[in-house]
Amino acid sequence: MKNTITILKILKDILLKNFLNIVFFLLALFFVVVLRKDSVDGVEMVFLDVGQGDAILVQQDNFQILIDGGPDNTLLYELAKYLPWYDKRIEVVILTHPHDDHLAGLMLLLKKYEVGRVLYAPVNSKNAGYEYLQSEYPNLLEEVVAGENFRYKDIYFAVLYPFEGESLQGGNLNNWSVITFFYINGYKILLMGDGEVELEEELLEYDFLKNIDILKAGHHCSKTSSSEKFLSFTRPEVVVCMCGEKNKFGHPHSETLQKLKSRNVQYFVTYEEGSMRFRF
Amino acid sequence: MYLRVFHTVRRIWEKFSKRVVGLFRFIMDYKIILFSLSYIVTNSLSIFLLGNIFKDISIGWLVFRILLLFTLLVVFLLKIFRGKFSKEWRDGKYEGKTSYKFFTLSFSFLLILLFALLRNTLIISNEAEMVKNSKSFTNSSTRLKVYIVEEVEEKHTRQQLVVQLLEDINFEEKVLEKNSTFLLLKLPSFYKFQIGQVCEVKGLLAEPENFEDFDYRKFLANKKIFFLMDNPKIFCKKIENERRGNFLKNSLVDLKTKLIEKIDSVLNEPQSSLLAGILFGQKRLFSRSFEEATRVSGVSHIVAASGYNVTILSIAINKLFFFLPKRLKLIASLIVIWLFAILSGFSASIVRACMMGSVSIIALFFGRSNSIHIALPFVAFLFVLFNPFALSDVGFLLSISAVFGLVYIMPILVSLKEKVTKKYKFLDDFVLPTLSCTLSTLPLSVFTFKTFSIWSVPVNTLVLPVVESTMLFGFLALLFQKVFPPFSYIFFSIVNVQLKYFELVVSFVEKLNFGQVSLSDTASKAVALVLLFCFVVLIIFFYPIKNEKYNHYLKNS
Repeated sequence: MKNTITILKILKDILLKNFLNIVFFLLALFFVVVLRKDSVDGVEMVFLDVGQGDAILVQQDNFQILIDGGPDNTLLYELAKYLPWYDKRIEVVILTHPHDDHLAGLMLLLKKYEVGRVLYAPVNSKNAGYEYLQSEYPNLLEEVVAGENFRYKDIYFAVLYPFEGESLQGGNLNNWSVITFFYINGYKILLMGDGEVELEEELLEYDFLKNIDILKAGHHCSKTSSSEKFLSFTRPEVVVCMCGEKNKFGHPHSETLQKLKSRNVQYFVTYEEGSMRFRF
Repeated sequence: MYLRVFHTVRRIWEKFSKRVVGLFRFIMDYKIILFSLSYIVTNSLSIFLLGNIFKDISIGWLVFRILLLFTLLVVFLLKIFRGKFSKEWRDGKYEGKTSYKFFTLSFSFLLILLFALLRNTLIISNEAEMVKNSKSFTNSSTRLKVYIVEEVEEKHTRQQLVVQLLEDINFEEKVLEKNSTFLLLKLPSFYKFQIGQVCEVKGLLAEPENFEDFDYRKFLANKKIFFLMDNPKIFCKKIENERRGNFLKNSLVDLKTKLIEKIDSVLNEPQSSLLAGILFGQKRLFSRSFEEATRVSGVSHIVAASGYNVTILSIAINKLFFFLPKRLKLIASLIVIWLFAILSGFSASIVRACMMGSVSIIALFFGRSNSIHIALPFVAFLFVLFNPFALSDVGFLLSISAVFGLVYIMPILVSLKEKVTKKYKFLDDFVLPTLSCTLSTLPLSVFTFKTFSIWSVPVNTLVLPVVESTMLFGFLALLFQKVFPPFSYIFFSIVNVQLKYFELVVSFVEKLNFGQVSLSDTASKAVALVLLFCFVVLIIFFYPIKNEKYNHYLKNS
């Protein structure tokens, strides 16, 4: 009897001393067993608030597509909020063009995450990160041209630009952006990268771009993009501007916002809204 | 009424002055404290002196020789003076006399100053040489062969590399010797580097430039970095082909890097960075917003490779081995914290923290209440001896003042608390240590960071117990990853939940958006000085002394 009491006392002591550990152990078990979230419900598209730069995540189950990576390591923190726990693999990465506000974050992603493949259109650029990408990760890189398309369950996307055979040399790199068109459960989404007016002209021959649902406006809603012509052709319902607060370029430009207002188009700016998640 | 006030004030003043005198007696009694303190003072003095000598006069060595001769002369004269009175001396006639005491003290002070001057001459002369000749190195583009000596430090826009030259470089007029300086390379963050890697660098050497309110030049010079290169072209060899540097350090850092990669392969940011910081004292880069949040809530020390991990570790060991006798527990914590230092790849700040921790553990081990008071200045002396610029390193000052807080402020708080209540033991474990460290580092942090946050104590109290077990579970998770992966998964889940809680608390505090006070330059200095003065006075007055009436040093002489 005496022994049992002593043992009970010791047990109680241990329990009391490790009270917090036990609570966290149970909490963790609860999360692992009950709230275990290995995949996303449905299809999500998240416009990540990574400051002055682009980063867009599209995911279904545990399949992820990431378009651009923003200017710094903010990407890793924003991604962590939307990825399923323990998913450290991004299946497809698309690099629209090698400017630091699209590329720098991706380079850090490559250090910390497992990446399936990187789709890009090779251009002539002296960007050090771009050169490093080409020399260090040659087996991840895949060139794409207009007309190629991909599918994973409900996610369907096609590359609209650049066209095959055109020489991708020199000039304004923004206008060599890889333009992707997503078609998810009947919704049409157009991601313009940093494409400017000249590039928009080239897209006007795609008839299916009429009446799209979401437009990621080109070049952070700069006045050099989103022409009247392009807007009246595509008639987007929602426009997303991806800019950092108080950026030195003054994005989004008031001219662009004025155009959107006059058309009664709803627009969202990432630094005002934070990261934006659309579910389809 | 007035009389009563007068008497109270007099009593307080008497107690205070008695204690101040007692303190001085204590210091005089333990020569080692006296020696350590005077070395620390003379070290700063000698750096100041030497700096002036080398900067003003081009042939610094000559001045130094004159100084040396002068000192020898003084010593010689003193010898004669001593010889004259040698008989009285030997008889011990002068023993105890004020003049005798004064003489011995100033004599030893001079000796210590001489020692400090000798110790620092080479370093300061090298620095002066570098500054003087810098113009001849920084004009043209150069190609250098270097190897990486420190772990890469990530910054928001780029990463920083500290490298050592592998060969002397010939410029038109001067030669830059390979051992005279380290170089700081600023490179885009996407490159991957390993410690010990040999690289070829091409670029323009530049002198560091000071920021608006920060002496960057001095900061780098104290680390023996006199030049930097901004975004040079770099080509590194694979470490399989060639590797330089200390083999032990390289392999330890490799091991740590591997373990951190394991963490990164499971956890997301900021959890992975937090765990790497807590387990290995690894300084990682947070996103700007999360960094701001940790700063506002006063937990940035957790990931800044400070003594915090070491303290937690010894607390955790004490709990884990609660069944062992006290001495064995202390030995166990001593072993574990040095294992931790090894795991951290002997990073300078962790080693510093471990030494501080060991001092308090050893002091506890021998159980003599006095030993800690002796050990603390002695360790400070050792640090200053090894790195003469330690006193201008904020990290060092912060960690030493934190230990000060544990040794001198905590007993006061404990005795105060015990006057009120004997219950609530968790206060002793979680609140009071945090409170005393926060208080003792307050003057310094106000002085350097010019901000003051009220959240430090509550947030640390909320977080500390969790971080303690995070350390344990994180360690187990890494251990089981090799042995039995499913267990590792469960442990990582626990860690993940705990660190999410951490993130939640920290971001919550940031969202509250109040409680942080920013001060202007002069105001912060004034506040810091006033605080320091108050703390010193209060500590002297309130520090609990057992059997105060019978204390040797407090007796009336």
